[in-house]
Amino acid sequence: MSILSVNRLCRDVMRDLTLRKRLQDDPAGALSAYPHPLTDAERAALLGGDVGMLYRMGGNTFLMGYLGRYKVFGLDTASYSERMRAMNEKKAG
Amino acid sequence: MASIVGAIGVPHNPNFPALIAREGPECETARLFAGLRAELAALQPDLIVMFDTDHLNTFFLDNLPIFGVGVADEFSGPNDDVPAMKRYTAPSHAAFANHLLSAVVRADFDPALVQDFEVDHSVSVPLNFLTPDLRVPSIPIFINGHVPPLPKAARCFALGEAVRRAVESWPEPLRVVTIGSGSFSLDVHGTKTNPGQPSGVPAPEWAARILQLIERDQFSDLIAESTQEQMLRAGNVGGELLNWIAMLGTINGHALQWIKPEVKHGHAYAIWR
Repeated sequence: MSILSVNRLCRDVMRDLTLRKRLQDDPAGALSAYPHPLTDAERAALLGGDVGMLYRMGGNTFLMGYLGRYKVFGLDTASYSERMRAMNEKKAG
Repeated sequence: MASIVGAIGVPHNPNFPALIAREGPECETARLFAGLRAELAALQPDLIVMFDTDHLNTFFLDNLPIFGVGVADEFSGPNDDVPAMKRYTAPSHAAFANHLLSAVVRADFDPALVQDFEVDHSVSVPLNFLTPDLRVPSIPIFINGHVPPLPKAARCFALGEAVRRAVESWPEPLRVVTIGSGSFSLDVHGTKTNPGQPSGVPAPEWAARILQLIERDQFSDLIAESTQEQMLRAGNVGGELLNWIAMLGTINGHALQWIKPEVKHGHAYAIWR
C-alpha cells in the first residue's frame, strides 16, 4: 500500500509555510483539505503524532523528520526522536 | 583533452553554516573546509563534478533514479531550509554535462537526464565552503544512496571510472576536480539518533574502518565491505559513502595528500592530487 501521500505531506510541511501554519492551527481541518489522498489509518497516525506507526507503514525518515523540526501534530525534536528510537530494529519488511 | 587534476571528499551536514556562523572561522569545521578550499584553489579548476545523494529534495519517491546527471546552465539551492544559509544560484556547464551523460551511457550505465532541478544541502553546503565566490561551474551527478535498493559500491566505483574516461574524452584542456559529498556514519531523524536529538553517529567503528581502508588505498576491500546492509547499519545516510566511492573511481593514480577524520562525527575531509 502506498504511503506516498504521507511522505508528500511531510515534505510540504518544510516547503509550504501556509500548510505548515494550518497544520499547527487546525490539524484535522488541514488534513481534510490536503489534496493528496490519505487513508484513515494514515490520518489517525498523523493526528496522533505517531511517527513510529508511520515509519512501520513506510514513512521516509528524512521527510518525517520535518514533522518534529517544524513542530506539527504535537511533535518536537525530542519527542520525535524518542518515538523513532523506539522503532529501532522493529520495522518489518 | 580535459583531465581530472584532483579529487576531494567532504561532509555536507546542514548544521555547518549555523555552526560556523556561531563559532567563527577558527572552529575545527571552518578550518577543515578552509584547508580544502585552499587545496581546490591551488588546483585552478575550470570545472567541478560532484557526486551527490539527494535527500528527496531534488527527486521524490514517485520517480527516483539510481543515477542521474544534472544538465543545466545553472542551478539553485539549498531548497531544504538550511539554517544560516540563503539560497543561491550556482553556475554549471550544460554542454559538458551532456557530454558526460552521453559518454556514461555509451559505457553501459543508465543515468537519468535531470534538467530544471534544484539541489539541497548536500550540494550547496560543500560548494558554499569550497568555492564561496561560486566562479567555478559545477555539475552534480546524483546517486541514490538513501532509498533501498541502493546501487552496489562496485557499480558506483565503476561509474567514477567511466566519468574519468568521459572527462578525458572532452577535447578542450579543462582542469576538472571531482568531489564526493557525505558522511560515513550518521543518522538524521531516523531510528538511531542520540536520545532527544535530531542526529547521531551509530557506527563510529565503521567510520574508522573506512578511514583505515582509504588511508591504505585498499579500495577493493572498501568496496567489498560497503554492502547496503553495512552502510545503512551506520545510519540512514550511511549510503552517502557511495559518493566517496564514486569519487575514488575518478582518481586514477593521484595520491592521497591528507585525510582528516572527525570519527566521533562519522565523517572526514580528504584531498587527492
